[in-house]
Amino acid sequence: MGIEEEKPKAFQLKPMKCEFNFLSKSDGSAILSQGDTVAVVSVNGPLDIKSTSQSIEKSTLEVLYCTKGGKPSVADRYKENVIRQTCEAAVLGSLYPRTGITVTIQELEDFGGLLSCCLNCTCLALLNSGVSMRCTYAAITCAIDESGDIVLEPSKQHLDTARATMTFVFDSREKNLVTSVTEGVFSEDTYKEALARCHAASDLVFNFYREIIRKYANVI
Amino acid sequence: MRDVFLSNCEKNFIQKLVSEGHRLDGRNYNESRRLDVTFGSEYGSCIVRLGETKVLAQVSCEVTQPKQIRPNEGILYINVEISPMAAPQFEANRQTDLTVYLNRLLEKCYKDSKCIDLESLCIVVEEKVWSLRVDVKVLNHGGNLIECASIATLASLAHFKRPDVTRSGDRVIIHTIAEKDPIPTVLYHYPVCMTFAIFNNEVLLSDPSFIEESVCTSSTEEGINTGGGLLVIGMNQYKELCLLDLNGAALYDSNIVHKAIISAAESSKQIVDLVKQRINSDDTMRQKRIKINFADMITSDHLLSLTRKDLSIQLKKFNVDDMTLKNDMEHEDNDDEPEPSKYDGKFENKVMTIFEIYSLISVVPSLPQTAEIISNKGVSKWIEISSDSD
Repeated sequence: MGIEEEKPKAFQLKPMKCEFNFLSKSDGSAILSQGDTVAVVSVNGPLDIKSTSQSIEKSTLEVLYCTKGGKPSVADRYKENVIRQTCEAAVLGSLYPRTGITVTIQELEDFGGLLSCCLNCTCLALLNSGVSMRCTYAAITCAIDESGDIVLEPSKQHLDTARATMTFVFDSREKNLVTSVTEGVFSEDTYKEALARCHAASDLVFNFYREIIRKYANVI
Repeated sequence: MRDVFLSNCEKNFIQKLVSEGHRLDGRNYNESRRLDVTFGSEYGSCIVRLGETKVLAQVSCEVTQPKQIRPNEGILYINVEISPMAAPQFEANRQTDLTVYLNRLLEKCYKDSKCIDLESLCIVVEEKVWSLRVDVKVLNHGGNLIECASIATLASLAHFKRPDVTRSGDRVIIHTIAEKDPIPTVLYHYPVCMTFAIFNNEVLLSDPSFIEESVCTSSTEEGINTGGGLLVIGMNQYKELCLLDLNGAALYDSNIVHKAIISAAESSKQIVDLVKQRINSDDTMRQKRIKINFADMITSDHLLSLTRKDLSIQLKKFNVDDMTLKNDMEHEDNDDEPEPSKYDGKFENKVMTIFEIYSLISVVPSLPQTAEIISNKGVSKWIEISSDSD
């Protein structure tokens, strides 16, 4: 896409930290921090579910998103939907017909970019649980500030003043766009530029996945 | 909630083990698991870890109208949620008996014991009061949820600070944390719930694990009641009783309750001291403007594997130093390898030795009675030993 040459890795993502098997009762779990944003995800499955929600051709993916405090809201259900659709693209559900896979996400800290942190953490937890996957995926959030500049991994202050925020998810095989969530007003060119910038940044997330898996491959 | 089945094997084993004076994880009867309290970046958010049980609590506040019968008191609301994250048998957005029981118990312990000064939460009588909401979320159910959830509630309430308010005429101004220092919640005393598992109406186990909890409330194969139950004791740091709750079989002997209360009095002091000490150290850290975040909980010094965590059996007198890894066994293994048959000329015998993997990892003592496997750096590899036959 040409952008990569123009910006030769000038950007760096916020420091990421991850721990697997954080919860002992789940089949797979991960806790991930991206900067100051933290989320825990547990994956259980494939397991038996009630027959009304069973599907004969693939496993049913259930995603539950829990906020830290306060009552559940419509925005949470929307997040759940985004995460579920992204997971469905990655998980090889046809291998586990008539079963269910439950993904539970718990927000711990929100300092901007919570959705991408949740998505990345979900991917790591799925990897940890041993569910067969077509590919892994990486999510990157960016914001478009008042002057029209693109800010990768915006902080809370950036998000409050931003004109638009976008979250992109890429798969690991072809680096294709899996999910795109946008909010606010922007032009088509800005969208394309943001997409290209996030696309380049997603490599860093995949590298981080590789590092983590390499570290844990010794003990699992 | 899906049923969790307990095999007769497990039941009999645990019953026998307890009657012989042991516990599955090598603890003494009145020994608790390791307690750890971690605070998040916001006021009133904490994660409490009691052994493998993990509970997240978050206090939030808003201004509401007071109840008509108590026009000058604030409102405390406790909400417990058990999601499928805690254990696979729980279902999403479904209230279970356990959730209701836990909620009621926490309300009894924190609302009915009047440990919070609700009158200080009043802003304008009959019009505006602070309403505190405690959200308790169970992350991992490894037994003794009640104690863990109550410590989490207590720690988050004691840690919480609400924004300052000034009144000018009819107007009420709520200041942000940056404008004015927030006000801590006033707690008269610090009650904590402690759980005891009763076996055979005589043995008292403090801080029961998940399997001990389920065994003591279950009946035997023949459906005979084993005289076991769960006794919950709420007590504050002044050794005053705030709550008693019994689940399961009826008790023949009142002495057992007395024994439990004496034991609870000791541990309640320790727990409250630990919570207070953590809040103090958190406060001094905040004053020094050190960033506190749940991310500090993530460690990279050790890697946990599921095999270790699921192994709940720990031996009482297990000493890691006694165990030496014999790498030279590898060579013995080579010698024992069967000779390839001479009829099969092209046959390649590939043997992967498990001992090679052992040489990559080492067992180190972590807790007094536990061993932890720490891996050496580097990629794990299978060693191929091929013996070509001539």
